[in-house]
Amino acid sequence: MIKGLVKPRWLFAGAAVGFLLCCILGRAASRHDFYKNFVRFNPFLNAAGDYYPTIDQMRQIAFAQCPRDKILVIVGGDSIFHGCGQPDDKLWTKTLQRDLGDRYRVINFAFPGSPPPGPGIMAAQSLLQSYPKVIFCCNIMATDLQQLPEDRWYRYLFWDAYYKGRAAISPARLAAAYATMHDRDRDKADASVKARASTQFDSWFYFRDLWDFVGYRWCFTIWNGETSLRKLNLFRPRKDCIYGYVPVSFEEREKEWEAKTPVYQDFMRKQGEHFRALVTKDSAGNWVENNADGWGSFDRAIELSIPEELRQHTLVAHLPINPWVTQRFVDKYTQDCLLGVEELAIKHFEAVGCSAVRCDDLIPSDYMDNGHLVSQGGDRVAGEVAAATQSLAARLGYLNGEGKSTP
Amino acid sequence: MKPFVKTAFSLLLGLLLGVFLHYLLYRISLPLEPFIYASF
Repeated sequence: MIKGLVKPRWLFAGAAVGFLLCCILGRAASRHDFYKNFVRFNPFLNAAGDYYPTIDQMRQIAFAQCPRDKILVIVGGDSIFHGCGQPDDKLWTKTLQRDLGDRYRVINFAFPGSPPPGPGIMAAQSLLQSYPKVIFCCNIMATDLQQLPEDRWYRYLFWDAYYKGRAAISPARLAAAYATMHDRDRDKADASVKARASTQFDSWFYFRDLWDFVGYRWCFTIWNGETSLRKLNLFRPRKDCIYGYVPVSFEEREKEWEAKTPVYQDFMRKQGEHFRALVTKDSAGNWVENNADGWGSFDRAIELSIPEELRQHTLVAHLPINPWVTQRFVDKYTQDCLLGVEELAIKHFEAVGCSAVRCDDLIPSDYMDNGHLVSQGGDRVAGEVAAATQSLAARLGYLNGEGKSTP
Repeated sequence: MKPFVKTAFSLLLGLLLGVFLHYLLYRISLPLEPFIYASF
């Protein structure tokens, strides 16, 4: 029936025009900041909600929020620096902004589920070309030493920056990214191939930018249990979805932790073995490295995940595991080993040119669980990070009115 | 049916098809594995 109704030549012409129009609109969407009053990529705006922001969107957020004469502070990292456990109005990066003052602009590009330094580093590297004064700050815990830098959910942002020419990628990083496509784990290899190929297509057709824009402004078309069905947000534009964290008293949190005792015991037993294998104390009482392979792979992870030109601009904040957990579930010697691992890990970051700060003042009531912080802990970390950021800014010559040129 | 109407209809249908193909690319690009994030 439709055969008599359509003229194939016009149908194909229309399809070509429609597709081309979408590509143009996608490209246009990538060139302005459509996130009004961006705070962070909350679960409606990250992989938890099937929403995948692009490198151009991150760049546009920075351009909209940070004038070129300010010191741009990009916060990367994982769910801890993302502020899981903290409502938007009491988010630690807001305290950091207040502590740093008007000379700085703090932007939270930390993503839950991504191992530090997280995909925010791609945005920071890319923005080094556009801003004379950039500082990148990310968190790390001793437990992260085992999983850097494989990023299951946001690996596409690496390819996004690469294919759109937003960041220079070293041959070693590129080779490591290609190597994930030949992983022995077939699913992991397939996911890597798909992330690369789809992102290459996106660099030609700009479909992520267009449909993210549509989903953010007008109508989000992907349903998932976490953000759509359970919270009755079907079709609701993501700009209207508010993700709230309900504050829980310390007593209630402690009860939850008590209930999780077997989980924490098992977790700390495995971590304890790992820490004890990594360090030992010499006769003078100093920590020395005990496992050359373990530290070697850690060094390689640092080199691959923090680009050389960004290292002198990078501040790594070391956050301890909740002391309520460590003090209960590991012996004194293992607790000491944990401190030794932290101390040596920081030296490894400093050896490649990064700066580091240890946020050791945290107390159990600062935590939501074994690693995430409530607002009180976030405020404490913000104070430490602010002081370290100011020191780094001074070292980079940012406070004299001139930014150091990048190598 | 008048040729003009047929042409306009074909063009409009084509436009919708083009938009749908663009959207399809977006959907295909999404990761297959669900986001599983465990914190404790």
